[in-house]
Amino acid sequence: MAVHSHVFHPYAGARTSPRNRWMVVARYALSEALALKKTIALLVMAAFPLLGGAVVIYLHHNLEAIKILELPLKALVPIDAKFFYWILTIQCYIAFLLTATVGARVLVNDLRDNALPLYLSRPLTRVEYVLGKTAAIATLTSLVTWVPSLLLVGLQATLERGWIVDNWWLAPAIFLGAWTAIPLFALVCLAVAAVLRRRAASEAAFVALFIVVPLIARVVDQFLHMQWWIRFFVPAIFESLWTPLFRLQQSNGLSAGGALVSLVVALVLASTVLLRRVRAWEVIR
Amino acid sequence: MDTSPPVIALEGFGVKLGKRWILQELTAELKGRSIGLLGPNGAGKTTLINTLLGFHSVDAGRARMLGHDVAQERRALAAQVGYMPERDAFVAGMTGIHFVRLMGELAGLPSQVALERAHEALFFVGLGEARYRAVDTYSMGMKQMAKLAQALVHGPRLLFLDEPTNGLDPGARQRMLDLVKAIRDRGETRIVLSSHLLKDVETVCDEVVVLKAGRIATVCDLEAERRANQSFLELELRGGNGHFAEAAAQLGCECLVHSKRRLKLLLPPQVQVQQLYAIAAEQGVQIRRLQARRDSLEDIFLKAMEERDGGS
Repeated sequence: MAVHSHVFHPYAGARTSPRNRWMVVARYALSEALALKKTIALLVMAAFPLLGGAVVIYLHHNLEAIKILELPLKALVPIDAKFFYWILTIQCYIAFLLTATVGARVLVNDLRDNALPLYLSRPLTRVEYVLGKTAAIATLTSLVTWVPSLLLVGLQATLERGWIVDNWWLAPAIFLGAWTAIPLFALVCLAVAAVLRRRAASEAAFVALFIVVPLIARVVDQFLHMQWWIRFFVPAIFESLWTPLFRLQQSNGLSAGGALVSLVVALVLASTVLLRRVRAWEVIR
Repeated sequence: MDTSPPVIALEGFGVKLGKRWILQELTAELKGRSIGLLGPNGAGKTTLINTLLGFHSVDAGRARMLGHDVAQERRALAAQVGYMPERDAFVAGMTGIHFVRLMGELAGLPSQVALERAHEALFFVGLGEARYRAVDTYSMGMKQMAKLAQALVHGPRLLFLDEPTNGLDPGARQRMLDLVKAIRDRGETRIVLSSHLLKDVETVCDEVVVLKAGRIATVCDLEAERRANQSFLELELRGGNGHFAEAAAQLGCECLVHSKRRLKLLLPPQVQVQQLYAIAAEQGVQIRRLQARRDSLEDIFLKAMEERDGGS
């Protein structure tokens, strides 16, 4: 029907699968995030360490270039598990910044103008809505963490025949390592946004949460003569989880099991807060 | 005979928010093309709509819409329902077309179809020229129309309109009512309209549910009322000896309101208006005004409120 006829008519055509409806939420949230200059700037910023990593890998396999540079590059920066561990660590810091910058916005824009009743009056549950928003942030952060890190593994494997046979486990280590950070950042960011419902406050609170909570825990530790603060310190949690994956020596004293418990507790807390706050109507009791 | 399931069927339906029962013991079968929800503030109109949409849980009894159980078959129902909330509701920063398309896709339309229908819906509500503007820059009236467009985009079988004329100037209000009537008259979409404006409900609806303090005060088939009250007369009289009413009663008329100068008569089918003029001539009464009218929705509403007060 032509739009100029200005007549309402019902729809009897095909409908998309209800199981994939959360992807609509994810797609629109992602396009909203990618429309921001800040997002593009952070994605460009995320490319620099990776380019650096790619250059180092290239130089390792280009003897002429090493000769010209007169650097003991192979001794200084060996291409091993530690190399990829540090690449992933740097990329996760950028993913954190990216989440802090655009994560809250994808939820706050809906909450600010009461769009939730419109979403939830359609065949979409609250869990699917949250899943869609989380998936949008996860897609963005994947673009700066495990996806490019795996490309570097691929580059190294291409340039050095047989290397991947001995180091195949690096690929799952990078993937699993990144996926300890991605849902944590996404869910905590969305939970903070769901509580505060203001973009700037949510962005600030998200960053503060990762700094303030371990600080408070450290103060409490001083009084109780305990060492619990490290369970709240996210870089330490990641280190404890990643070092066994990358077959590296652990140094911070927090066991992988303890770190996993901290991570799971944080994820459950964030999900609970989110599902309590993401409602079509809030009932004032 | 109409064998289609009722638009809304309530059986001992109740909703509790916190510790308080907001809706209690609602039982009704609503089959109208356009159903009005009336009631004073706090009567439970919005809670009823929200519960039928699945936002609140059903705490007593059951409710069915279009033959589906509200509590058990929410997903199947949601695809067939459009909802225009009372409050402002849109996604900040999105253009009109983007917003309506998103809502279409969420209702299950394929992406390209959603885009086409978003254009159609926005033209239908009169926002064709403004569809590439951000929704948050729209005026109040335009936002109301955008809300209507998003509720229509997926071609719902049942449309919930919660106070659709709120905040609209007279012209915009009339446009909104005309659009709702156009949807109703197409006959493929049933409408539930919640409003505290009796005139809006009277203009659009053919069946009315009056809620009071969370209970149904009355369910009224406006179409039937309109038909039943065809020979209802209002008369303004001058002169005579005050026995006109008794004479009319002897003809078989029921006298509803009686004062010296004003009468409200319900005429039985066999009595003609000419017979009233004949009585007036006999008694020397001047009939200054004679108006055939039906009970207005206001009469029905006020009567329902009084009856509930009396009964409770």
